[in-house]
Amino acid sequence: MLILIVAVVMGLSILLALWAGRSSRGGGISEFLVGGRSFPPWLLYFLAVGEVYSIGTMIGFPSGIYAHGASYGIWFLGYILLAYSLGYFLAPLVWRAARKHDAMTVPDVFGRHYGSRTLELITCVTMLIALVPWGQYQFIGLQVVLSNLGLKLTPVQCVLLAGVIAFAYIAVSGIRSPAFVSILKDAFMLLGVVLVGLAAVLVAGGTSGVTGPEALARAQTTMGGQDLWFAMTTILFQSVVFYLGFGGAYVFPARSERAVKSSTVWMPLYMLIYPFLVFAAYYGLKQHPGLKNPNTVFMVTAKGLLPEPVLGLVAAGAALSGVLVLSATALAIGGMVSRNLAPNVRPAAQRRWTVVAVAVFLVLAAVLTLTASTLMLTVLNLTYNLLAQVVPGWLAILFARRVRTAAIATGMVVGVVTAVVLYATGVTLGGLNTGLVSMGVNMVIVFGWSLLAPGKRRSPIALERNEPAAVSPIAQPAG
Amino acid sequence: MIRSWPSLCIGLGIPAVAILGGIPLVAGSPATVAGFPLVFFWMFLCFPLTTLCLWISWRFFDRQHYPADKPAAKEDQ
Repeated sequence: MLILIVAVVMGLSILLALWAGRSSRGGGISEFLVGGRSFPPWLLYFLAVGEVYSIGTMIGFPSGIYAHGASYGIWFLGYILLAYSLGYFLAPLVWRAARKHDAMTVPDVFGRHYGSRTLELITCVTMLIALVPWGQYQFIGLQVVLSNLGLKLTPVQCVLLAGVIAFAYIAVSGIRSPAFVSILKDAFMLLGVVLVGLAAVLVAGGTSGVTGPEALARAQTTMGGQDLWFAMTTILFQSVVFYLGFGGAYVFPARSERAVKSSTVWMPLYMLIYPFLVFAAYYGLKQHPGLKNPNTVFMVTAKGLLPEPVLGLVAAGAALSGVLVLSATALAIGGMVSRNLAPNVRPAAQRRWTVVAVAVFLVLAAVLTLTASTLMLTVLNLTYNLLAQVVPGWLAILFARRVRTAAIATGMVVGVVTAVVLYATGVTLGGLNTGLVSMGVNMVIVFGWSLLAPGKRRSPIALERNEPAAVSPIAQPAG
Repeated sequence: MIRSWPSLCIGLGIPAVAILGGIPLVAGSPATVAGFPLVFFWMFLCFPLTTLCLWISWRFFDRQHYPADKPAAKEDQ
């Protein structure tokens, strides 16, 4: 029964993906990657919340609270919320930069703004390195969901199944698939999260039975010292990276700056699902202590509270959210490989190359999941630490006049190396988020160098005119 | 570069103070509100607060500078 429900929902989502792409079949690479830059605010809203509230919300967030207490829950909520405020001001500029340079990927923007193929390549490689752990993050969540369905699947089979569905979305409709499937996913995800949270409260006899002082020790619901320091620096750091690191994926397909800005206003309200997840996490902590894999806490809690058919709907919502983000990320990576990494691919062949790169990325992330699975929110931290290395470059493009191309390229390389070394050595720095250090080093190189030896004068994007809204989608290249 | 300071103060300033300033103040408190630990309750309050601030920025300071979109040809099909 459980498996049947999940299978039916996943099947429906593939049909929806096919329907989503009905009008764009045979479209060029711009249609495939950025939907012809034509998304209205409501569709952009669903694409963005579809990607932001990924499987990390349902599986990763409760596991963070389970393993590390309040501090992980608070930084997770705080950085997303603050990112919307920052994004309201920054995201329209990111869209403006993409439109000015007719860009479909972030390396397109960097390469064209500075007229440098080397910078385009370095940005591309940085983003590729950063997005592999992001794929791994989704796969870990999917593995947890699929392995808790009672299927006798090995981890390899779980990962394979998830990868194949993600590939199917992209192969049929490009970026329109995740945007439309996101609507279906939201319905199931909301239902699942609310049901598990409510069931936990009802069974415990009220909210204080789940999160009150009689249910939990003080240390589990408060934070101080290093934990607080880590939470606050993570909120600050990841909120800045949010739109400038990931931004391209859910900003570029917008129809206009107005669409970007107005859709951001309502995004924080979606976060009202989190109180239910806090209930689920703390209920799991009390009822199922000592889980071998903390990542499983949401599914284990749901299993203990809900009848099988309802559990099927919850699992379907979780699985959809993971596959959705996996497919959108794979598409972003495919776009970068076909347009930025591989030189001189004809526009007509770029769509084919993209599909091949999507498959390679899915395999890579899947292998990483099977060989190096860890707490989901730790993988999330790593993704942000790596993605942060494009932030100084973005700030230069948006706001600075005389930054040197070599400074941005050098800063990015040094930043990535620093981030990897800090992650691999497990340095704690008294709780300070290490991403701030690697991004800080990068920032000093970019702006320090340019201050000492200013580069060619360029007009920053923020100073350019806010052009009237798009009247028609961008031109479609042949093919 | 910054067109509207009031918009920036309301849309970014207030949420940033509520999150970055408010959380350290309530993080160590064992108090609960409606069954929630105070730090989580504070964070949940910040969700509608942020939307309210962004809506005020959009409605009263920014919207007039972003002309309404004309429907793209594709959407009409």
